[in-house]
Amino acid sequence: MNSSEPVRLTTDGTLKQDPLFLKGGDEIVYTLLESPVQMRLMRLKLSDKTTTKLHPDATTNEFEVTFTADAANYAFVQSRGNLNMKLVIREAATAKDAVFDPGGGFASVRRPAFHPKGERVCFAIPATNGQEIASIGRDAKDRKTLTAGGINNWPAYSPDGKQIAFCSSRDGEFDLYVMGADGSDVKRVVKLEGMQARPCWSPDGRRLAFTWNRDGNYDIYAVNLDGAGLVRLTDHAERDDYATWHPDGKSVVFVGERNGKFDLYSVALK
Amino acid sequence: MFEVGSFRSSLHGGMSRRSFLTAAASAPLAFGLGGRTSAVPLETKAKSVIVLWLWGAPSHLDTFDPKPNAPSEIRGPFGTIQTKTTGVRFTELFPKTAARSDRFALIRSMVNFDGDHLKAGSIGLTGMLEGRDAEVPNFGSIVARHRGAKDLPSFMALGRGNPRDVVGPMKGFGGGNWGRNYDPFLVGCSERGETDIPALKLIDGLSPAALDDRRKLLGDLDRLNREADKPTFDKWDVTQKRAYGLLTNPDARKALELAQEKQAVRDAYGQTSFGQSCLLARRLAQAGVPYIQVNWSQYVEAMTPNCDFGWDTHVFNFDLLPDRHGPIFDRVYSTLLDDLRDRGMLDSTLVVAMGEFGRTPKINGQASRDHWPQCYFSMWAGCGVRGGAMIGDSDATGSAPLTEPFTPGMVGATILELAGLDTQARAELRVLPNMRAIHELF
Repeated sequence: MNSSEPVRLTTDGTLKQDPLFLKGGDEIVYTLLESPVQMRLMRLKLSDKTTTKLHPDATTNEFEVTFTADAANYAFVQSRGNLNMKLVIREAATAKDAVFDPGGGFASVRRPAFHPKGERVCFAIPATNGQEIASIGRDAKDRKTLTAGGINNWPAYSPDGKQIAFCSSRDGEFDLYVMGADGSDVKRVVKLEGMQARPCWSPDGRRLAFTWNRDGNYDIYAVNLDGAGLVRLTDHAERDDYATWHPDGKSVVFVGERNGKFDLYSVALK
Repeated sequence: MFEVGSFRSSLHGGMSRRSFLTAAASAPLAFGLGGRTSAVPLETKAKSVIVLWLWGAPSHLDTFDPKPNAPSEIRGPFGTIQTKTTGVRFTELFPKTAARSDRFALIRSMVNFDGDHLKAGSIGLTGMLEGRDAEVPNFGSIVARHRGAKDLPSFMALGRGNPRDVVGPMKGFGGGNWGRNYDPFLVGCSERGETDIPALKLIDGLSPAALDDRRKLLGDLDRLNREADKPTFDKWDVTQKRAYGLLTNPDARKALELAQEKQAVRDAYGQTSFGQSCLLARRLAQAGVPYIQVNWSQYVEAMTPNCDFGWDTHVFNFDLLPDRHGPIFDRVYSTLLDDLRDRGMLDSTLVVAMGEFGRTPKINGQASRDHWPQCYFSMWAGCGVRGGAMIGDSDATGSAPLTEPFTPGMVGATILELAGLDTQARAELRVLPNMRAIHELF
């Protein structure tokens, strides 16, 4: 183990996902299953552990929020119809939206990631040949396909915006990959038995934390971009998932299942 | 694709709804729908039946009938793991279930006769093709009628509401043409184990929230007892009367109180509504309720406004399953099996987990899977079911049964025989009289 004992940050035990640091690490935004029919974006202030709703007036599922480095813009997925999910790109100061609509009927976008400088948003979207990673401009236009073949998911821009980490089944099962932000130079980071998912970058851009279904249980691991230095960050019989790196690089926050309850936890890295 | 009302429903590629229904109509003989009855009825062993209704239809290929050697457009992205049963593999999303495969039997050659949720759901829960268009009784209603009413209702459904989709309700949820007396008694259960009886909302002055506050509940009931004169009581419908009767019986009421459970047990089931509902199902079985149906969700839709995350994964199937549906089911199902075994209840409790159909072997244009009634799975535990048995098999792509198909009618006959309704009893009630039980399970 290359981490300390996890510290619990929330206590309600309700289903959570997608934590993300804001304000230099002072706040965390995440998705909460607020009711059986609604996922809501929440904001946790770490200094006093108070939580507030990011969009108090939301009446439909909203989840998987992603921010630019300066938090001036953010994007999230919004459930707007029957198995139909759209990508909302919002200017924080004005609440002005640009919406990427994947089409009518059963059509969806998921797992968006904002370019740190706000130039583009990448995401996973079904394609004729599997599921691709694509990107669009901040105005929700200029869609570009970045991958070809397989089920590709969970893209994440590197801190400098030059690379994207993601997982793909192109070689069989979900493995961890890195490519250029334009989709070039795809490399598998490491070959592991068991599904890997939801990679996130260390602030220095040298390592990836990710979920690995090793031996039938989801735990958080970290690895160098060249596949070396694989370490385990969590070790619990229940599920640990949705890692996000603190901006100072010294800890990782994740959703931990403990006694059947889901809360945010932080582990300090050794 | 075909249209059902205003709802676009995806069937399986290359087969129109008309041609499929035509095929289904000619299927009874081929699929044993009117098949032989059992020479020897199954022994009545099931004091209680718990049906885990995986509404929305789980993908059989991504759960308990993976095809690791099939082409990628069929196989999907999940790895497979060895189960405790030699030669049987599940996808990597179900490690706890795999570790207990010696405690349940798996049927991989189920078939249904419609590709629409509401119709297939009705067939799946009544065993009758007529259930597609007519109101016929649910297996639970049949058991309830056979067993008769006691302190607790004989057919209880746990969930947010009776199964439906965004278009409308499923017909086969309850008593059908037998009337509301045989509808399930519905109890909601939150992820924290708070129970909710919708029927109480219709009784003036009694708050469902009082269920979790024993002192307040007793006070409310005392007041109602004083105030509920005969004319008032007569105005209540059968469901309200049953709710009132249940709550005025301390033993019956106790069965609904999950707070009576040790925290470790509640934790083991997990803080999800499905988990706590399954714990409640175990308590109700312990209290002698003959038939309990736990609804995974009220709506089939996996991710739709105001819907509660059913198994209908036409989009992002390969994200939803590892993220949500797989881990929750794996935890809850394995815990339920452990709990029933540890309490010595498995000999007298039948647990059946199933949806209404499977999903398309070939991955669709949304990188997901659509409806596939031609082949799916069901899981059986308890009451003498052979643990570790693989009953029936599907072909190399999960497209069709390789062996004799098993139908919802056979599922019904098996459940009913174990619950004490032999062929003659079923004939008297005019339900599934000629259907054979699945003897291969024992």
